[in-house]
Order: sequence, then C-alpha cells, then structure tokens
Amino acid sequence: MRMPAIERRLGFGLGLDMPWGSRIGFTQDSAGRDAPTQRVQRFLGSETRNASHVFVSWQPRDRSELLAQNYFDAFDGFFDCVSDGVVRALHQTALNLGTLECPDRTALIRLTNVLTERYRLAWVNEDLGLWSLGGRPLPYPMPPFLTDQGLRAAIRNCVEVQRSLVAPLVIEFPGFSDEMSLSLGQWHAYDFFRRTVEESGTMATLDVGHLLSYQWSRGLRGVALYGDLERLPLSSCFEIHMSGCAISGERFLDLHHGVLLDEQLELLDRLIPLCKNLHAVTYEDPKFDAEGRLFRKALPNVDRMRERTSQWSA
Amino acid sequence: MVGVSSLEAVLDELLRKRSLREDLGRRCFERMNLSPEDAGVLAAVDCATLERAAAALRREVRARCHRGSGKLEELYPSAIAAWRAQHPDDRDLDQLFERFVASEAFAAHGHGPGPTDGLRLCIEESFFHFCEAESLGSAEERLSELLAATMKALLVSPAPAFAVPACVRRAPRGFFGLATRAGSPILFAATGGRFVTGALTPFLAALLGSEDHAAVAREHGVGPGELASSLEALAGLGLVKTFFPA
Repeated sequence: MRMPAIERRLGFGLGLDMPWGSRIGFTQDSAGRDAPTQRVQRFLGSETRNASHVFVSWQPRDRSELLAQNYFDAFDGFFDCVSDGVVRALHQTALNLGTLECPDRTALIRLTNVLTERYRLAWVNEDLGLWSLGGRPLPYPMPPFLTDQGLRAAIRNCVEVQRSLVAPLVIEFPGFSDEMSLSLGQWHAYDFFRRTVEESGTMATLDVGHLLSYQWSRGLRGVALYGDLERLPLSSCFEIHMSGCAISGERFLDLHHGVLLDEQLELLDRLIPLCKNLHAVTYEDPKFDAEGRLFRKALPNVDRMRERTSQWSA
Repeated sequence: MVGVSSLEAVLDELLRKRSLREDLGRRCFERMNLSPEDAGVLAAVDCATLERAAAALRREVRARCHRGSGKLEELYPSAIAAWRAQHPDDRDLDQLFERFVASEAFAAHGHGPGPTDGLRLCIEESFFHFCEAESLGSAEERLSELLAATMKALLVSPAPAFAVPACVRRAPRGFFGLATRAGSPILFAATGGRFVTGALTPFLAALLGSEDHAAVAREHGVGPGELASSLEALAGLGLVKTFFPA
C-alpha cells in the first residue's frame, strides 16, 4: 500500500476543477500569460487561509503534444495564490483507469511527474472510470466495466500507473448519475472498487455524491442509500470528496455546483468514523462570485461540513 | 479469443451508431462479434439508458468549443447551410450529428497516437471529410472552411498532437494552406502567432507552392526585381525563408 506521506489528519480542504476559458478556470492575463481568473485568485487568497490542503484538476490546455512546461504559467499562478503550508495535490482527468485497452500513457505520466516535483504535490487522485473511448473524450467519465475482465483491467491499470507516478496514486469511486453513466456488468460497484484498491495496493477516495449516485441508480432511497458501506475499502480510504449534488424528481444529479445535499452530510457523518486512515476531507468544485466569495446558497451546508471536519481533525 | 471485438470497442460503436443500438434492442449480436460472455453483459443493458447516453454524446460533439477554433457548426457555415437546406426539419442538427458520429471520418479523430501509431485527425478535419462524403456545400468553400478552422487550431497548438491535414504546409514561422474562391487563390495561415487570410495573386500562390522560385517567375513573366520584393513580402509574413537579395 502506497500512502501519501502525510503524518497528520489534514482536515478540511478545497479542490478546484480549472477548465480553460471558464470564469472559474484558467485564462490569459493582460500580458498574454496563462493564469487563474481574477475570481479564482481572490477565492484562493482568502479561502485557502482556512484550508489544510488544496487540489487542482488537470485539464488539457489545448491539443498540443503534452509538455509540462505549457502548464507552468497557469499552475505557478494557481499555487502562488495558495497560502503557505497548505498541502497540494493533483486530480488527474485523463488516465482512463477503467479502460480494457492498453493506452500509451507515457507523455501524460511524464507531465504529471514534472508537475508533481515542481509543485511538491503530495498525491495524485483519479476516478476509476473511462474518460475517453477510442481516443475520443467523453462528455462525462463513465464507470468501469463491472465485469471480471473489467476488474482485471482496472487492477492492471492502477498498478501500472502507480508504478510510474512519483506521487502516490489515490483512486476515486466513480460517479453513476450522468446520462453517460452506463452500468455494464454484474459486479456491485462497491465490491469492484474494493477489490481494485486491495489488489492494486492504492489508496482510495470516496466521493460521497458518487456513492449516493450509485445507490440511487440501483433504485435505493432513504436510509438504504447509506447501506453497504462495509463493502467499500474503508481502511484504504485516504480522502473524502464532497461536491455539489441535487435531486430532481427521480434523478440524482452530480452537478458539482457547490451546493451540498443534507444526504451528503449524513453519509459523511457515517463514513468518517469508519475510515481509520482518512486524512483529508475535500470540498470539491466550490462556486463563488467575482469577489471570490462562496455563493450564499452553498454556505449553510459547507459550514456544517467544515464543522464536522474540524471536530474530526482536532 | 481470436477475432472477437472488445466490449469497449463495441460500446464505442453502440454510442455512435443507431443501427447497432437497434440490433441490441432486438438482442441481435451478430454484427458486434462479441464473446458470449460480453454479449451477455450487453444483453442486460437498458436500451433507453443507452439511447440517452448516445444523445448526450451527440450533444457534446455539437456543443464542444474547441480551443482556438470554436464549435464545428460555426467553422463550417456553408456545409451547415447546405444540410439545413436539404433537411429543414433538423432544426437542432441532431440528425446531422447523428450521421457524423456514426461516420468513419468521426472514428478517425482523437487525441494522441491512433491504433496504427500515426497521429489521429483533429475533429475539424474529420468533419471536413464527413462533409465531403455527404457532398455538403461546395468543394471550394469546404476547403476554405477546413483551412480557416485548422489554422485557428494550430495557432493555439503549434506543436499539435493531431495529424496536420495534407493540404496544410509547414512554413518557417507556422503553417499555411491555399484554397480558391471563384478561381482566385486565397491564403490561410497561422504564422508568427497570427491568423492571416486574404486573396493572393496567382504568382504569389505559385511561389508558395514551389521551391524553384526562379522558374515560377519565368513562368509568370515576372522580372528579378518583382520576384525579390514578392519573396521579401512572403518572408515578412513568415511563409518562406528569410529572403536575402543577391
């Protein structure tokens, strides 16, 4: 088991997806250099003072060959805004850990390792899913093939990627709520994920919205949404993600819009005491205004999340 | 098992091809060439869910804004106009994009190395080949639209991880390509960090298309002085090597 070299419980942290050209993302500054937008700079400047850790999601800047130096301006700008002492991590989005194929990840791994060393990234998180099919990106990552062959492939992928990365790989339970989230195969996704984690020797991230989306997709409702937790790799859980979700009619939506459901807090409460190696609880994809202030609608449950996390990490 | 398709490859095709989804709806797996085990996996798939996923993929292909160039329907206005004229009922272009994602041209695009090691096409070129196969718009306009789209993409990705279209040539400070409008040459270039387009004289177009500049000058009845100033102008745009007058 390769554990990130973190000695203490980190507590509450932040994770930002940073698409290029979005208001919460990367842009070009007045000098034509890549940089986080002004609102991101303001947000990081104020909010990371109260955060133990922060991760940034890697997204391809363009369609050039993958070279780490093409990301230095943007990432320098991002991490310059993060308060001193805050632990840093990366969320990869292109490792395609759920694929049955054998993709050439050489350039992506090289880029990730250069970024890891330059920014002293403590771990690399990645969804156990399919980000592309046939080399063409998908609108939303699909779950892995929940078959015996899919399990063997997922383990192989995680072992290979883990071996190549200089930072520990932490794999994340994938989402099941999007229209792209086809479930193929008979394995219970919690068992599939646990077996992958155990047999690949990686640590795990439990995204609470993703867990709920899976149980929801199975037709479970109410307290049954919090069931089956013993089937998860609880002792290998290093990080928990909390990102904005919503329920609309009969649909569970993993919107990443910043507003947490009460159900997510309930599941967080249940998971924290079960995850003995938990080090980080991350509020993922916050949404904020031009001044870098969290949207008012998000505040009540973010405050509750922060309170629970503080109690746990104290 | 030799000769059997992978579940992943078939899933990719299912998301792109309605006819294959219809096969699945009838539980007809012949064309999928799957192992019995994988056919069993697909047999359990809810067809309505698969249909929604396929629709989401089409919407994404239509709506995705490619850095540098933009959305496909903005890049190919004449081809889109031709489609709309032929299919006035397809207001949201869903039928167009359904045909596109099912095409061989679409399957040839992607990021990084392709299955046969060469780089894949960019989506701008793959849409161009689709429009060619469907005879959408005029050949002249299609080529102009391809060149404009590709140059914009190359401006932000000057070391592209996609195959540069055969009609695009490398230049000392970027890339260029030539099309024609009403028989006259039109230049499209991504050079020196700028997108450049405009009409060229036949002589300048011929100069860009040849290494033997003196022969081109003779052919066009152009004297040494005009040749020198022409090459200097092209060199100033980064389209030919810096010109040193004799």
